[in-house]
Amino acid sequence: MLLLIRQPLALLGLFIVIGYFLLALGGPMLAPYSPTDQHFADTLQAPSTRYWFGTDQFGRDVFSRVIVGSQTIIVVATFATALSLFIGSLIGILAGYLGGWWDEALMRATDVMLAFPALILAMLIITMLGSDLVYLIITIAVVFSPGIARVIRSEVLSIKAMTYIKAAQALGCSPNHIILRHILPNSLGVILVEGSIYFGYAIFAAAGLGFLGLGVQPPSPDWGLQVNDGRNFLLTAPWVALFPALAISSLVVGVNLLAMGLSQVFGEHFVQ
Amino acid sequence: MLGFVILFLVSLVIFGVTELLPGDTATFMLGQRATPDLVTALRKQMGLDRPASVRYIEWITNILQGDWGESLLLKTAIWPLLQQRFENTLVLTFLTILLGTPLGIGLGLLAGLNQGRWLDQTIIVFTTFIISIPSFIIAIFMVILFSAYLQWLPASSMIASDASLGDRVSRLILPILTLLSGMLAHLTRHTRSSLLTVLQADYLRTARGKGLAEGLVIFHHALPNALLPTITVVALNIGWLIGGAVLVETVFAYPGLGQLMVQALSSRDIPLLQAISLLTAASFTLANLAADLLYIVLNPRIRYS
Repeated sequence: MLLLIRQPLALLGLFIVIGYFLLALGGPMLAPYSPTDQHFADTLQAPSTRYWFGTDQFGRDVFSRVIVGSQTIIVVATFATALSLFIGSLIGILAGYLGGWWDEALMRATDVMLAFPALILAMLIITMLGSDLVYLIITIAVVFSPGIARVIRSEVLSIKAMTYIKAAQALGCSPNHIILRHILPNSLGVILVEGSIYFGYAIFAAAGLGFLGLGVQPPSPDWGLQVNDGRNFLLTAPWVALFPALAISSLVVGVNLLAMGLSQVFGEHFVQ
Repeated sequence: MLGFVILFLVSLVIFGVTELLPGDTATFMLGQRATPDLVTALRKQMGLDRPASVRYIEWITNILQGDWGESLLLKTAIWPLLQQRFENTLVLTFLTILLGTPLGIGLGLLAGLNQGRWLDQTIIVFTTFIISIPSFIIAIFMVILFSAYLQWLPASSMIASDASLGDRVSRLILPILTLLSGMLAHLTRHTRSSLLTVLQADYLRTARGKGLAEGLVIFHHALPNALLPTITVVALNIGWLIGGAVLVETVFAYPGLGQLMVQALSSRDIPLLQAISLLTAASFTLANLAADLLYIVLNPRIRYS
């Protein structure tokens, strides 16, 4: 954490991310209007002192919808990242530590998953499951865990070759003990870095699926869905799409700056 | 060989996901009218009551023989539809790759050779921003800037069959610019970091030590090695562009594979969905395979047996 403070860009990223988390936490309390209230006298109004970000085709306040919409994307991205880190680490550690047949089977399974463009696989799964917040989280986690598993596995392989693991094995420690007390703590840095990178991807995925109408259902505010709503008015009322689009971009910029900082702290090359 | 095994497993996953999860084609087709009796009757009529393994084998043998089945929504054979859309997507993909590869490598080298100076810093900050913005958001920004504000280019890429060449080209510019920006950022980053790794190698110190001119050191010793990994990035981008351009195609209403997939999704056209998924996954896998092969051919140090 101390090292992070010495990097101004990473610190800026941290502030942006914390800012959006606070926004999501405050939600409706911070919004000047209800995100679903329709003001039919004020449809497609340009930004003004009354409606800071203007209004959409139903006269709903874009500013309030951007604020409340942060809840959806933050919740989905956070839980999806946590779940994919859990699944990915589990697969990566099992494959890396157990080796042999386990490694072969698990890695071929990730090969198959990675043979799909991520978005196509996510679209396929979510269509079959149905649009729901929980299914959205599960879908994103399933799509991203193979990539995480790969990285964790290679980290585990390099840790496994260390002398202290050999020593622990020679002392007769059980595999459970070695995995939980030696391998896992030493992989935490990589897991954290992967988590910060995939948090950005999860926001991409949540926004993209929302944009395609596969996320939360209207009239709940959702940034991706808002951008799609605004797509029909890009030439006449660009603010409907512009502000949620800026929100998505700035959040991911923040996440990526933070991820770059973290990967430098943990000595990883940040390659995307 | 491994590629074919993967493709076989991929087809199994597609079939499994679309067939075994709750809700099948018959239920979707009947929609609101779905009563248990009707669903059972339709399932029987469509042969959906047979075991999944039998239906999978039928599906995959038909595809291998060139019969991709029939779309539920459009009631036409899938392959001609798929072929035309695939061609459109390939046009976008290859124009993007063609323009993006030299530009991305060029910018990456420029940044790497000026490491730490303002040019390098600018390129890094710029690419960080581009990488952080989802492609469909970049598309939205492009339309707002070039179509709404400056009014230079059309916002929609729907191309009429009698459109003039100039019109066709002008409608391709924004989607290509959008896809290009994402690809460019990734490629620039990779080229830069790969060049920086090579620049630290011992053989470069040797080359300099024996008194070679700096230009010769860079172009003859550093570049060939630095550019090898970028082949993989370019190939990965082909796969990404074929499968991942879904959102960008949707924004511009470009008649590509991605847009067809979105239509298939919203109308629950499962045969069409399966076909598109298989085609994109196959292209993705082939692009990766091609990258591996090219890497082996160009890299004399690696010879897989």
